[in-house]
Amino acid sequence: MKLKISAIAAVAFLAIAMTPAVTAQAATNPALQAEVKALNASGKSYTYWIGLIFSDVANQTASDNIKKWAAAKGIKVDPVMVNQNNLTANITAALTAGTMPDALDIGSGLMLQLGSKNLVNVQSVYDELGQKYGGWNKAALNFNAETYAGKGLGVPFGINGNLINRRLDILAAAKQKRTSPVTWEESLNMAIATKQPGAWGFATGNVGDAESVFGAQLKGYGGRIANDAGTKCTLDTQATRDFLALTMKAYKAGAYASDSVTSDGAWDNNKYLGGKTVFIANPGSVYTTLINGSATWEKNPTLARNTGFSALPGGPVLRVAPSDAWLRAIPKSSKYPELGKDLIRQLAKIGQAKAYYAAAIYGPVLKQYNSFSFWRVSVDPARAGLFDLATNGTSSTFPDTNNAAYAEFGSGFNLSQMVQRYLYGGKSANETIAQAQSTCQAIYDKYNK
Amino acid sequence: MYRRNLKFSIFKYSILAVVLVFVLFPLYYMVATSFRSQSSMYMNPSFLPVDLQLKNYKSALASKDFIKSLINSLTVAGVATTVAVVFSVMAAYALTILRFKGRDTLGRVIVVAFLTPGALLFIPLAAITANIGMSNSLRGLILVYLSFTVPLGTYLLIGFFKNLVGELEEAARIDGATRLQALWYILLPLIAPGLVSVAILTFTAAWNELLYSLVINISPGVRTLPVAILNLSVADETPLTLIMAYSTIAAAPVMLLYFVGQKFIVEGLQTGAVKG
Repeated sequence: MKLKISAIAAVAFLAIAMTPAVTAQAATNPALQAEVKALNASGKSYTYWIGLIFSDVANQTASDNIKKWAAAKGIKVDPVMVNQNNLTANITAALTAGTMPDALDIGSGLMLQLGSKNLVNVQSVYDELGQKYGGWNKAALNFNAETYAGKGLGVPFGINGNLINRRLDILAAAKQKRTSPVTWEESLNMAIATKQPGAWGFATGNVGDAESVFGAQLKGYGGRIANDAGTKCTLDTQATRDFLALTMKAYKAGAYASDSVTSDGAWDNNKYLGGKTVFIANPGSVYTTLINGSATWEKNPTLARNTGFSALPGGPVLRVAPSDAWLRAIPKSSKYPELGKDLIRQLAKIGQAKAYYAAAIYGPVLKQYNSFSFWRVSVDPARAGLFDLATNGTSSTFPDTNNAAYAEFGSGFNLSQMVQRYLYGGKSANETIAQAQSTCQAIYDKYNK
Repeated sequence: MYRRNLKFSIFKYSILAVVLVFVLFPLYYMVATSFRSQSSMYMNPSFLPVDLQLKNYKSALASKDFIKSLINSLTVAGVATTVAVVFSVMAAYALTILRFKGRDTLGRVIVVAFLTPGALLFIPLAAITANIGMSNSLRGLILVYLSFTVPLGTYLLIGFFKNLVGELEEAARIDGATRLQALWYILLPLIAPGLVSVAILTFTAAWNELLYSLVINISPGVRTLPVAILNLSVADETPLTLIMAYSTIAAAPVMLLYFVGQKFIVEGLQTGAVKG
């Protein structure tokens, strides 16, 4: 008995002793202390760019967490909220002007494009946090793959991705099944059965929503953007033609809304919130708006109850659940990289993360975050979907290789443009695919000289 | 004869009505939408002003960020306009009245500077403001705005100065006036409509400018109104009706300026275009 108690005590002691070791290491890190001194001597503030996301509370929580960290360190800090939608322009100018922040939130695509030339390698922090918080969830592990070109350049803090939101009441009235559609074709048929124009409320314009849904559909039909090596484009296939046939079926049936091609990122959300469509793909902001209301939308608990959430459907070949991440990164221009690493450690703490996730629409990155109550379906079905995405989702590019060329192809909305030429431009499938293939190969060649 | 005139008038006013609808409809839609709720806009789509309410305006006026950005825009556009008018007068005077080598080339360079798209210049200008320690400040933005407001003003005023009889300045000089006195007492009163026109056009250019403000002034405290409006769209959320309310308030000062000074603006543009 005594031995057992001693063993438990020893384990407990070791656990207690090891947990603060990481924090203590940060506190006693001479390089960190030197940076604190240097920053204070300069009279300047440590700057952090917070990527503005949906929910003001989430943005404010992030800002408060950073200010608390700075106060504890005895430094001045300037957490600047930068609109994610304008981040590329801001970074482009800041890189040239030498006004990059000391650390920032960044999307994986932009991180890949900045690369190791501009960003500090923070793999050690990634490893350390994984060890401390029970490991990384599957979606966050994608950023640690040896084949991932951006490995080590950022520490994930939020998993995002689309879930299908569907109108259960309208589908029931059209005598459609209550369970989620398994394939894109099935969801399209359900939308058509409602006889509501624009019921398949997916965007077809030059917008991220359209590009990501088209990407998932293309892959569902067995299509690929490029080969496994990530060097040669492989759009000119029968699978791409099959995918285009699906979009044409939707178009001819009137399932796409007439204004879907002139859409912006909020177009589908507003359609759904306004009761004008049956299916949309959304990362969780719609549900949050239905429950809490927003600056421009009243709460709508009835519509919330009539909404079903599910993963993106698949095609005849594959079903992908593309998840992406926002990461924390440190530009190489920062004079205070150790402070940046320390801040990343601080923001990853359970208490800080819990307050942030409660307001943000991100899935959890670390396994110890998985116990937060709001991931349960009964508490918040949209966050439960994000949790599912974080723990089971595929990478945003799967099965394609995640590299800078892929990111550039996507940020140019090239899949969406391929579909637009086919649906609205009167081009044949062969013509539009040939054009997309050519554009794609030019991008991949640029990165594979 | 009367019938022919009547027919022509009907034709003329019909064309004008079509043009007016084309020009005014976006403005009307902006204002009408700004008085609606987002849910009404999507659930009850209508071009008519229905379900009117003041919620968006109340939100805008209650927002500290909005008020701050409004003050910033007024400051930047006001100072940039004042400085631009002074510099433009001096530049246009020098380029038309004074005789010096390379005068014509310099005039052309100014036009080129005025015509260069902002998208080509935003990175170099961001670098320059950073190097002189003026990033993230209203002073820096004012300086940057002078890079396009001064060429614009100079280009327009050259036309006005060319319209003046050259002997006027010479006569003043013979009577003992200095160049500055001749400019101040004789020439400036004669080109007053041009000055008003330049002031309105440069104020509008500075007031509406987005790209430079977006990339040079990152901090919330120094954001201008166009950036504040842009920042209303966060991630995949776009509060359209609120954006329209912000935009209506933002458009009001410029519309007022144009209304008051429309005669001068037309004259200014015509003179600048013909003589510049």
